[in-house]
Amino acid sequence: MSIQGQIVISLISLLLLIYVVAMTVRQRLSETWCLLWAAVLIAGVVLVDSPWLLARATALVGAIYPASALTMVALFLLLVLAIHASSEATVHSRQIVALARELALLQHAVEQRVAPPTDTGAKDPQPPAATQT
Amino acid sequence: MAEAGVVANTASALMCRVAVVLPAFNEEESLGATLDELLVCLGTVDGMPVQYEVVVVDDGSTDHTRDLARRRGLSVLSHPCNLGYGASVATGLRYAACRSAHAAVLMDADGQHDPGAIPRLLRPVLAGEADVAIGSRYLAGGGYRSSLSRRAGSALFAGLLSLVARRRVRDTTSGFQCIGREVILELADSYPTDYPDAQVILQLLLSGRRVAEVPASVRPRRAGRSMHSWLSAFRYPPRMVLSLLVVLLRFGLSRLSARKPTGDRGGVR
Repeated sequence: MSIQGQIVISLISLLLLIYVVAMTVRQRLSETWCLLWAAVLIAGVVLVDSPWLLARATALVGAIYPASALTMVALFLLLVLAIHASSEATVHSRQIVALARELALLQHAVEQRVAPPTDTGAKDPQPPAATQT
Repeated sequence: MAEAGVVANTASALMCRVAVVLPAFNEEESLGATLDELLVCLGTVDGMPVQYEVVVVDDGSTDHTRDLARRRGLSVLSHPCNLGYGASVATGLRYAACRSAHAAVLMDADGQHDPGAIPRLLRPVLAGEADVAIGSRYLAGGGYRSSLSRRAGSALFAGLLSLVARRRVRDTTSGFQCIGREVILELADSYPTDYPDAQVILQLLLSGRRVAEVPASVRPRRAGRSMHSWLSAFRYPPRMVLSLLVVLLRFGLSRLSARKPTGDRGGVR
């Protein structure tokens, strides 16, 4: 890769790293994700700035061109992260549903204590003829 | 199921408590008439006294569904946002479990299900003959007529499920069901939120629960729109098949991890 390309990629990676750290400081990204993305960005810069390492990585994944190797690795990394994010979203979705259900039950319990309805909807089984089958 | 059997045999001493759960989302136009009809129909089962509690699960409605049910003095459980049919049923079952109900009847709030069939649904469960009773549209006496595509879809799922469970089930997508106490406790925290119908039935059959089918008529909904849009025709089949496969896989894995025979399977009478 040309020196110009190395500089551009390094600068973009640096800006992204600053952005990730800023997001973490503002509590919009957890420390775990910050560490992960920082590692990915630093690894990318090291790979791009070390021609020998890039050549070894290209040979390792069986690609002919270093650019193809980088694209392939990046694609698989993004796929793995997307699958992981889907899993986390599913877990969070389930947790939200569970919380909302608990909230509904608790709200009902509180309403019963504060202002119990005159008729709870429970049917007295025997006296009214209308309830017999 | 021993408990339900005891309840049935000592009816005079111990009254059966039944929760009638109606999941409702924006059903203000039909809920009133449904409740009117329901409250008149609730009665004894084979002379056994039954204490009913009608529970409306308001699934984040934006209309007056909640107020309408509250004004009638019924128990209303309100989700803060729309969580879907499965979550509503799960909330209702959880409530039934908290109230120590012996059985829970699930029915639609749009008036499609005939509440007159509730005692028929309750009978096998309270008598200890079944863990779950399904109000089947396709049994003789059900009298259900739907579109060809819907009938074909239902037949496909029923065939698939019957093949997998090795038991004949005619109606796998009926929302009109009666669930016994043990199954209430089992499902209260694990009821699936996506496409639950056939998944739950397969799960119950594989775990040895007894599932009975009872004829139940289904009518056109009184008002409002169905939760199944035309898009569902494309989304429903693959997701349903996938959910059945997931249940099978989960069951297989649990058997592998348990490494012991599961005993005799239940079935549909």
